[in-house]
Amino acid sequence: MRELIGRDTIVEMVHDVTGEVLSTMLNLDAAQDAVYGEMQHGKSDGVVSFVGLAGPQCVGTGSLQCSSDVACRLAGRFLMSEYAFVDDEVLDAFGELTNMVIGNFKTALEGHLGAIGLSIPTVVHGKNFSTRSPGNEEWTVVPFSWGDDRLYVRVCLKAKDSAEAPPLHVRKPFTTEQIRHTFSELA
Amino acid sequence: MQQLISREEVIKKVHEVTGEVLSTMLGLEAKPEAVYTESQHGRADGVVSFAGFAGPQCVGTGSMQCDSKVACTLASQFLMSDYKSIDDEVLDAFGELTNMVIGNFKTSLEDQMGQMGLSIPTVVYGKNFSTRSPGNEEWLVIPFSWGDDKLFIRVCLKEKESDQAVHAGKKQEFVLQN
Repeated sequence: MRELIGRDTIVEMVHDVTGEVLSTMLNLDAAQDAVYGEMQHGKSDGVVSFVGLAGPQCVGTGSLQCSSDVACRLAGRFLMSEYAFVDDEVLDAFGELTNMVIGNFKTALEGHLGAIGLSIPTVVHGKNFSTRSPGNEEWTVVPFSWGDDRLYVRVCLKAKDSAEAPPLHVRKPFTTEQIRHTFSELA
Repeated sequence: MQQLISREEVIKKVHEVTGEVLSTMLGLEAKPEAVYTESQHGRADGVVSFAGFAGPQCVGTGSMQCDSKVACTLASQFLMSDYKSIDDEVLDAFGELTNMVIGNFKTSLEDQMGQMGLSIPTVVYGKNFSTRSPGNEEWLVIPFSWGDDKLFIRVCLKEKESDQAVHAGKKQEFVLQN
């Protein structure tokens, strides 16, 4: 992705769109913490959301993550209500926030990479679950904090050519030589 | 979505691509079972994967789900090794299988929907976690079985809104009633 868009540009976009959503929709003045890269999410505890990005030049995934308590507080602000524990409304609110943050990130990306589509977000909630994406792409992690609360926005992008679903692989038939070799070993 | 593609066509495509991947890549002769719909996944236990796709006419998500034992079986067949418990290799194999099944499903959709892109799959593993998607879209659930093992393919499609960019929005202003 470095040929298409630099990491600093991605971070700046994430910073701008997340700050805007948190401020405008939730009246939260969040500070961006130190950005870092990671190969995999690893173990999670709380609420994580994923939404896919797909365009002619690149594909990717955007993700939001936070603890259950923070998710309840975010939903409380978003829906102007109060949530003591994670329920369907909290998860729906988190999904909508994901749609906004990653959706606006997608729009910002389009200025560089052309039209990009956004898939339907999925939100996962639990204790001690793992998340993983195949391949060796690096995720850019942009944390935001306000008081003791933290929200992690993660983005993974890769050039489309390398990402396209492989054509259905047809298992090569064994050659005569391979069959002979196998039988000779069995004898 | 019924104006763009019928439910029967979606089921047929999923049957074909999944059967082909399971048979060709894993040597498994899986039987499709009764299809049903659900509004949400709900509670899950085991391994679930998601891959999003988007095109000019529609967007959606494809998902695969099975229990841990079946995920190990699938990885063992795929990688021609023996996996007794879930580890990173099993999850990667499940992600690759998701890429194949949902990727080929996406390709089969393109005849009717135009070119689409497929996002990077994500695989989730754990005990007793919930998955949910905002909105009221319906998921089509297509189960496959072989012996005592089951694999669930889920697909959710919706028409792409004319302006999919979701702006941050303005805070609602309250109007006091006299």
